[in-house]
Order: sequence, then C-alpha cells, then structure tokens
Amino acid sequence: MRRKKTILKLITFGAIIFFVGLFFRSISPKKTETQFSTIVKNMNNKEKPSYYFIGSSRVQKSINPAILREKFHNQNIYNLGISGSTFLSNSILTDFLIQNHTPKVIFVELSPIIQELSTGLIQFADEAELDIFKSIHELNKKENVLKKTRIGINTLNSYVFAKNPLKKDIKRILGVHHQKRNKKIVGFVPLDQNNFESTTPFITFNEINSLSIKNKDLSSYHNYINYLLELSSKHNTKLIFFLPITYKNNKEKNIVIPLYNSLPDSIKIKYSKKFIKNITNTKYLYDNNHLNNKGAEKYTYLLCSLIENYFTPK
Amino acid sequence: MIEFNLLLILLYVLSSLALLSFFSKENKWKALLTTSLLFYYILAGSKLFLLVFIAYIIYLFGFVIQRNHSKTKVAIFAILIPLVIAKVTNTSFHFEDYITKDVWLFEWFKWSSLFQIIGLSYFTFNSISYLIDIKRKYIKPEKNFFLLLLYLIYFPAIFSGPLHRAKYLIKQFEIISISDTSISKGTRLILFGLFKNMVIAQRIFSLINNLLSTDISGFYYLVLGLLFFLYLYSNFSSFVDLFQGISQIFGIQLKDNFRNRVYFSNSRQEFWKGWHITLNEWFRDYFFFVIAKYDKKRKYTDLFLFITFILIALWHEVIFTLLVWGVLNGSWIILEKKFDLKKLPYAKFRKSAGYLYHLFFSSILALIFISSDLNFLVQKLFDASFFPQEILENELMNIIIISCSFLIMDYHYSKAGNTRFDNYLQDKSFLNRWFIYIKLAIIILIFGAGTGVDNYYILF
Repeated sequence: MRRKKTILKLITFGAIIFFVGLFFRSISPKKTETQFSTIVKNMNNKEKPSYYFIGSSRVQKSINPAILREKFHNQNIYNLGISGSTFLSNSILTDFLIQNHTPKVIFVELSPIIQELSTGLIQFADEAELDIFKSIHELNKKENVLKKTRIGINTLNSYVFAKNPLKKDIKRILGVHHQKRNKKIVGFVPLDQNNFESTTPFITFNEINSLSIKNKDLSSYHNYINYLLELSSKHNTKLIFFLPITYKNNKEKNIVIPLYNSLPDSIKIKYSKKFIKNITNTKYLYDNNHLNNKGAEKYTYLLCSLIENYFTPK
Repeated sequence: MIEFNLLLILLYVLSSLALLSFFSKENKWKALLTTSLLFYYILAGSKLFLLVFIAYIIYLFGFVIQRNHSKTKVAIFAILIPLVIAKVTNTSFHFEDYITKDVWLFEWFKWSSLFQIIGLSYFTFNSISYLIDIKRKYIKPEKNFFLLLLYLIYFPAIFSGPLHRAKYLIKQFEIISISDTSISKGTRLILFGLFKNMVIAQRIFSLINNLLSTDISGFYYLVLGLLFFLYLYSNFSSFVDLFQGISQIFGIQLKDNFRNRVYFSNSRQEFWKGWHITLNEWFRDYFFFVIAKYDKKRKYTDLFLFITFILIALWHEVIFTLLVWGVLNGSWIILEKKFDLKKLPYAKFRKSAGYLYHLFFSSILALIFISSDLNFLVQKLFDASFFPQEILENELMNIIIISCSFLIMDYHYSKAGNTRFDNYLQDKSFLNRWFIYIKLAIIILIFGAGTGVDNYYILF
C-alpha cells in the first residue's frame, strides 16, 4: 500500500513536470531553420572536392574558411569546429564525414578525449542524420568492458541532457534563441576583442619537439586514430592531424604533444619555428584559450603555406 | 570540474532499490555493499581491490588493538601511509586539475601513482576513527568484515564524506528500512542538492572560469575570491545534500556537514563551527584532543589549534600556498579568540558589520586557495584595477540566474533556521511543499548547467 503511495506521488510529480513542459512547448515560437541546416546543405554540394577542419572552439575561432576558399579557389572548405568538442566528438564527426561525404581531406584537431558529447555535436547529429552511438561503438571496439561501460554511461547521460526541450522552448519564448556571435555552436567565430595580455597560452616550438613530455597511455587515442585511418583509406579521404596553437592549461600538452609526436609526419601538420614565432603575439588573443579575429586571419594565412599541398592536384 | 553524471547516480539508486527488495531486513546492507562495490569499481576501476585489501588490514588491526592498545599508533601510522604518499607525490595543483576536467578525467582512471585513489581521504579518516574508538573502548571490533567494508566504502559517503563514526553508521546498516517517508525526505534533499549544484554552483564556476580567462586585476580580483567562496559552499554542500538524500531513501541518515547559511557568518569562529562540520569534528576528536590532553595547564591550546589548522590545510594539498592558507586561517581564529568580538558594543551593528568583515577576509583566503603562486596573487591584487566589461555583457543572463537562485536558496534556509531542508519541507502544507518541488524541478530543467553534479572536494 505504501509503495503504491510513493509510486503515485512520483507519477504525479512527473506528470506535472511533463504538462508544464507541454505548456511551454505550446506557447514557444515555432522552430526556424538553424545554422546546422545551412551547413548540412552546403556539405552536400559535391561539385568540388571538399575540405573540413574539425575541432573545438579553438578551431572555431582560429580558422577563417573565407581566406582558405579565396586562396585555394574552392568554396568547399569548411570550418566544422564545434564548441565543447573533444577528441571523441572530433572522431565521431570524422567518422561520419568519411562515410557520408567522402571529403578529400579532413584536418582534425588533437585534444584530450572526454567521455562526453558536446551539445553542439548532438544538435548537429540530429540534422545531419549522424548516428552518434553507432560511431562510438565502432571507435571503442577495442576498449575493455569497463571503459566501454563508462563511455556508454557518460555519453548517454550527455545525450539525454542535450535533448531536454524545456531549455530551448524557454529560450525561444524569451527571444534569446538567436545565438550571440561568440556563442555560435558550429563554424567560424570571429571575435574582435583582445582580453589577454600574455603570450603564455601559445605553444612553443621547443614544447612541440620536446621528447621529455611522455604519456605512456595513448592506447585509446591510437585506437580511434587507427580506426579512422583505416576507414579513410577505404574511402579515399586523407586525414591530417594538427595541434591547437593555444592552451588554457599546460596539462593538456602532456597528452596532445606525445600523441602528436607518436604520429607519422605524413598525417600531421608540422608547425615551423618561424610559424610559431609569427603567431605568438598577445594582440592575436581573444582570451587565454582562443584567438581573436586578427589572430584567426594571421593563423589561417600562415597555415596556407603548410597545407597547400593538400589543395593542389598532384 | 569533476562530474558525477546523473545517469550513473540514477542507476546506483535504482539498482540499490531493486537489490534491496530481494534481501530480508537484517541482510539489506548486503545489497548496499554490492552496489557500493560495483559503482565504485565503475568509477575507480581496479583501485577498488586495493581499498578492499586495506579495509581487510584495518579489520585485522581492530582485533589487534582490542587486545593490545599500544599497537594503536603503529596501526594508525600504517593506515596513514597511502594517504601521505598520495598527498606528497601529487605534484599538480588541485585547482588546475579541477578546471581541466578533460585532462584530469583522463588521468583519473590512469593515475601513475598507486595511491591516488578517489575517496582515499574519507576512507582513511573513517578507518582511523574506527581504530581509535576501539582503543577508547567506545566500540568493539566489528566481527563481520563485510559490514566494516560497507562502513568504509559506502558509496554515498566515500567521495566527500560526511565522516561518521562506525557506531553511528553500522547501527543504521543493520536496520535499513525503506518507506514512503524515507523516499520523500530523500527526494527533497536530492532536488535541493541538484538545484544548488547545477543551477548555482556550476553557473558560478562558469563565471569564475570566464573571469580567469581575462586580465581581471586589482580590486576586482577580490570578486573572484568572493565568487569562489560562494562556489565552494554551494558546490560542496549540494553534493552532500544529494548523497544525504540518496542515503535517506535507503533509510540511512548521514550527518549534516554544513550549517544553513554558513556563508553569512559574522566571525571566523562561527564559520568554522558550521563548515565541513564532520571533518572539523574529526580533527577535534582524533587530533586536537589527543595532543591537548598532554597540556594539562592549557598553556598551549592556541598552538595546538594553530597546528590543527596547518594540518587541515596540508590535507588539501602539500604546497606552500596552502601552508600560508592554513597559517592565516589558524592565526585568524586565534586572533578572534584573543580579541573577543562579542565584547564589542552595538550588537546589531556588530552583527551586520561582522558579515561584511567575514566575507571580505574569506574572499582573500579563497583567492589564496585558488592560486598556485603567491607572487602571482599579490601581483594581481596590486595591479591597476581592471574589469573586462564584455564579461558583464556576455554573462549578464548567467549573473541574473545565479543571483535569483541564490536568493531562493537563502530564502529557504532563512525560513528553515537550523532545520535540515527535508524536515523543513515536512512542516509545510501539502500545496506549499509541492509548489516548492515543482519550482525547483523546473528551475533545474531550464537553468541547470552541465550534465551531472560535481564536487571540488573530491580532489582531496
């Protein structure tokens, strides 16, 4: 009898929340076309070979695709940086692009694996018909049961939260669904301000080439990369990995530098000493983790000379 | 931030409830032991086996101490070894670890150091209290190893406490009873914990992080200290609320760890009486009283108090900055004792000014807590004042949500007085109670940040 009372209470509670949600849904303005649908449409333009830059907000704020399009006379160059993206998200997106859009080259940012999914990726996945969990399953095939369990629970958790419709409805009701420029979830984000007066966020040439930074356990990263390389060779896509140029925290370098150094030269972008010297300037920083618009312009121009081989027919 | 995702917590509660239903009343603790071990394993992996092994040694020590009290010191020394090694060998700065959730999470499961075990502090403190209580003849050694293991590794309490004496918790394990009341009370605490953690704490943390990304300096740098102080409270107390609630569902009442509205203390002494209560009681009972008994004339009480604060500081992390934090904390308390603030005139004014006085100095201490380098902190504080205006523009909505939510929390605490939130709601009318439930749930769903709950103190 008492158990029935508890269950009844929980059901009532759930029902009230549900109806409140329905009420907000009914009064919120209808969904209009999002930034994702434009991106997805563009991605389907297969007239010319396509090129993608994949990564986190650092990629969003540092690679200006307009400069690359102009330089390489190709409109199919995209910045697919996603806010909050990690190496797991990057790998999922790479997997999807290789299998569905067979781009010529995908440039992937090296970053730590977090066993979570960014909201941006989940929203993008809905519109691009990306099966996130299938991809996670493929990427983690070689992991042990414990790791698979953790990653399963963590990713499912972030997926469920990202699907919470109440937040979106309230934003629409309040009229704040049009995202601020600096909070855009996918694609290039140019930022004008310069809020950081130190060059400490920039990686140094010595750090990149330092063999003293060691990390013995990169197995998960290598599993992901090997899977993607195998897939890309089947689909005739080239995969190129690159290091972020700025770091909020030095500890991240303990993962990405050894990982970068463990990869063969043929699949990575190698920053030269001059490259690092030219970009290392406080005026190029938005904050301690991102470049501003000036920085993005400089970085993209500098990058052109390092990646032009991939854009010219052999 | 180190998050416990809500799905994992939900799975823990549901699987525990399901398993509990299969056991008879006197054996229900076995269900909780099973799920505690399973979920701790999911989080910490094979480190679990090391903890079980140490727990077995503690189990054996219990009998040794019962027979021969002189072995207590050796046993405690042995138990402390893993914790001391973990503290001394961890060379990274805790706040940096905390911010880089990504990197830290990665390393969490791959710690190179053997004793970097999540929850080791609370495991060790509970072990020591168990053994000393045996020596003091408060309790007899627990004959059932698995019951002792549950006391040491109880999932809702292992990560950040609250700390409990074995007698208090084991007694409750033996009479686990789930009822409509226990579920209602537990759910109330969970709801309030989620509200404080996901809406207030995580949003304050995001604000702190954004401010730290800029060149904020001078007087405005103190704002960071105040934010971090409020963050620590809302973050840690909400985590305790959540796990108190989960435990309450099983009919097990965990101790309170924070006094309601402890952030509005008007002296440091008052603050420490209501902050991380069980840890402070532990240090009082098992360290301060132990050394104080040698000082029969009470000549060195202040010195012992000072040493206790140094130890509490170094328990967080063995670094110079925290040593300074400990010294300042200890000195502050001792100075307040010497200049008895209660003797000051104008009681009402003294009380109001006391809030400001305490918040101001707490903000400075909080800054020390999050600075890896004192030079950096001094430089930041004495630089020309700079506040990044665009933060106000970008974070306006966040600041409004934090402020309103904080007012809601404070309103409930002011009404509750010294009563725990679940009991405070118990006294409300049915409609009023349900209005609060719905209000909190809707706020969490709309304004909750993140996908789980986190706790800064898990680092320690």
